[in-house]
Amino acid sequence: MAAIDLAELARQAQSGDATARDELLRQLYAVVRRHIYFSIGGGPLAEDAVQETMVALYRGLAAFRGEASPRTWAITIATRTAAKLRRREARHVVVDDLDAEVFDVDQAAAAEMVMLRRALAKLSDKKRDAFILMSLLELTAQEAGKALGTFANTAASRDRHARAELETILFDESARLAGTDGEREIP
Amino acid sequence: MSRLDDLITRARQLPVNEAGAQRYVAELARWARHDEPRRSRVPWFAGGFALAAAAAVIALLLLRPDRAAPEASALRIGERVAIIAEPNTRYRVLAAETDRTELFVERGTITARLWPGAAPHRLALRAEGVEAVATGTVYALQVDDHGASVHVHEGKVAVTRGSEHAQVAAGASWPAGAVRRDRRAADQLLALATPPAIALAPITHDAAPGEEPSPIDAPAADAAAPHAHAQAPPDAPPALSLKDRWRQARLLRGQGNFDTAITECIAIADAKDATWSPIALLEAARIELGPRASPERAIALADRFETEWPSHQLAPEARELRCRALRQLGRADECKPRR
Repeated sequence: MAAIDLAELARQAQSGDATARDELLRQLYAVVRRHIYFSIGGGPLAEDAVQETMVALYRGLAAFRGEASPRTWAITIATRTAAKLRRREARHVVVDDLDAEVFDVDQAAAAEMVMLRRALAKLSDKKRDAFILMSLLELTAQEAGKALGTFANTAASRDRHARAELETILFDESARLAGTDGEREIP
Repeated sequence: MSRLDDLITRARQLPVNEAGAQRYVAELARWARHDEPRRSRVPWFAGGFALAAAAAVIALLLLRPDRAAPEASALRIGERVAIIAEPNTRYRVLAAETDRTELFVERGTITARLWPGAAPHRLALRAEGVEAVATGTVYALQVDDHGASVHVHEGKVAVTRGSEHAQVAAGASWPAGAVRRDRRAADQLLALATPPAIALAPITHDAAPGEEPSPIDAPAADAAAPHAHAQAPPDAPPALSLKDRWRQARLLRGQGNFDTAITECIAIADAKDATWSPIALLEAARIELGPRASPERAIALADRFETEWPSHQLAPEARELRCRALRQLGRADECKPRR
């Protein structure tokens, strides 16, 4: 759904339209689910993060000023919630599995997403967050910087570094699966 | 396109289950309002008045000679089935799939309703040696000391016992002459326009003096938990593994069916399995503290964790959760490091 539609839904929701509110929250739920999965994986911690984010969206909708798109607003809240829970629950057991009941994917697609999630888990939190916001959720550098509490250039730089590291991690993984030694030509 | 670019493209399009999203948002409106942290302290005299008032109400209810049994809540299973489990019922959900729902009743009464839909759906209530199947109806399966009986309130039900088959129409019972003690659950289900949005477990049983104790010897933490636990009866068909049940509990939580998820988690915890029980117990506490906004019960479950799994690697997490619950109640000073 285009951002303009979400903004309109948000406006209608703020004027008391419960149907528009629910539709908006459904759209944002999908974004939040994706974000949280790639940020912290699955399992109870992810459920907590989704829940906290959705409650915050529900409660915050009345005060939403519309300065950013509702999607960016939801992603910002999800980013902060995920970071908070990661800190608070540092001992949590990481679950990379994709819940097939939450996501509509077949086994092969799920395996690919798990592979990406595992590669992301090897990055530092800062690089991973920047990559998720910019490369996966397609925020601009300004939006990502704002969500991450940093400068746009810094967010973009972290995203670039994350991409480079991910290329290496995925190459090594492919080489491992193919049974080669992982040597590669330097371009 | 590199491997990473390909994965990014797929990740951007990762589809989220729409029905799940719909259910989640439907539930959100209900529990988001109740999830407010409870930080304010109530003055002691206000608390005293509240306690006195509550005691008076309870005394009135207990002393009323013709008091009715509490009305149990409807529990949704899947998209088209709702059940009501009467107090002291012991049952197990054997299947909850798009095309079939199956329950095994060990003791007590389950009343079920199946809403019609585009595709056929098989709703089966089973007891030892008896199976009652319907494809769009309201009916009850009752298991007591005299055995199993089926009571049909709407539609038609096929009953099988060994090689014996019978079609039971609305208003009739099987076996002939079986007495249905109470049809309030059926009326309650018939009054619903759609399956209940909230998957509620049956509410607390109002046990009469001298009555048989609850089938589950629940510890104090579970005193207010539903009596109709999803327990595998000894002669039930092959049960789900604890891992599958844990997965089901997580799914239920993801769908916003918090009460059912807690019931399932407690049942897993009761199994005393070294791998799954502590995980499930902690999950139940998390749900109590989060969506259910019930820090008191979260504390009770965390205490149970401390008692049953004091050396488990999740014990620190349980203690932290207990502290969070205490903070919500304004009792942070009780949160002391434990050995």
